[in-house]
Amino acid sequence: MPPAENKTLAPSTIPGSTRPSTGAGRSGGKPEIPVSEVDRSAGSSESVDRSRICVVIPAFNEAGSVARVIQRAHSAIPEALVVVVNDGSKDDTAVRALRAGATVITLPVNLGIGGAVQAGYLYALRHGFDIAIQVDGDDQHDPAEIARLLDPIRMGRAEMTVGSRWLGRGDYVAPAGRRFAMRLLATLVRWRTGGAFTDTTSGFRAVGAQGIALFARTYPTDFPEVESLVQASRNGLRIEEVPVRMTPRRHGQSSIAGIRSAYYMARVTVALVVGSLNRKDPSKNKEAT
Amino acid sequence: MKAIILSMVLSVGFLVVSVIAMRRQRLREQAALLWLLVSLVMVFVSATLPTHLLDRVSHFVGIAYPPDLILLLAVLFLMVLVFHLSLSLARLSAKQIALVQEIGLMTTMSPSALGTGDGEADQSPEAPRPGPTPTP
Repeated sequence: MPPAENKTLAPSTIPGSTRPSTGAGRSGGKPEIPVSEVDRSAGSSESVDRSRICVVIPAFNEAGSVARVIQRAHSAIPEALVVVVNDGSKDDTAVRALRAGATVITLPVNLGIGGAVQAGYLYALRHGFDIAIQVDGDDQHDPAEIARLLDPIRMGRAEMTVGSRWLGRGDYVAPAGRRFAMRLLATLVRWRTGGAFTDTTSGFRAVGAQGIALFARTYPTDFPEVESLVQASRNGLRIEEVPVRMTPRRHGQSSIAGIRSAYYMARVTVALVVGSLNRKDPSKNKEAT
Repeated sequence: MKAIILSMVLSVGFLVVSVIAMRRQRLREQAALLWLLVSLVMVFVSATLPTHLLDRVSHFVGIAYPPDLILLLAVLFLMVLVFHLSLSLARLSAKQIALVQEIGLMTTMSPSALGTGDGEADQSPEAPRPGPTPTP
């Protein structure tokens, strides 16, 4: 689908920054030429061959783990471009990500997970990627599992895949309260989409070109996982859940803890219920399979 | 009589303040118009105090205690105003998010920029997996 969306810049305006270094960066002595090629043809995806998959890693103060995630992503899927969205971190997340070989989008202020992830999808859209994989920067997701996410999309069975920690792989355990909340969310999502998802809050996902365009255009801000899942389903994307391993986080704090979890539930529930009143929903409520 | 003087002073004072703010272009046209209207209404209400207009109107709409009419209108007005501001805030923050993302995309760095002092703008997506860079 042509990325003629609201937020799309004409490709020619992308390199048009006033920075003097732009030209130098372009002829940066890389043997492969696709660099400028991709610049020009951002959007017409078929001319971009090798860099069709990008891994988007949103990271806010993840200096402790981001390099590891990048390395694991590289080794899991060497042909992909790894893009870290540095969401206004106060630590040296950006430098560590660069050193680990990732392309880094640094947001000057913290936008929160939704805004950061959307920046990644915008990047993917503008540069004509066919598949974008979203991996958390906190090492919770095992990039080795990326192949599992890719398969259904590559085979054309689905336009979006979600890694679920509840489908038998790995031994992720969650406290009872969280399990209850997740079940509640799954029920809400089933009501909105007709699809039986087990892990609606998973941020370990992959989308094809259609999903990239959708999320680049509109993506929820604060607690985006559940809402974006519903949004994708109602926009006709076929979504498949894939069993993955997840590990409890090592560094930093979950963005959702304590009182915030009640707030989270309230926000997501309201978003889903109010969203159901929206008549402009473009979907014909396609079943998620 | 003292009440009229007091409320006239306040209303006219408010009118003057909003006109000054307009003149100095501290208010956008829309808001300026709004505050101008509000202060004119205040002046009007103060000026008509002796005619018992307020009492007659509140009697007409069935409010026993005339000042309650003013309070009711004031609260309604403020609620609508705050709601309107809330909407504008949401619009602004959506715009701000888009701008921040755009800045982020414009200043995207690829690993090759490391150590070259070229700390900015390399829009070109590098070939996938640029040469392995040593990691700490």
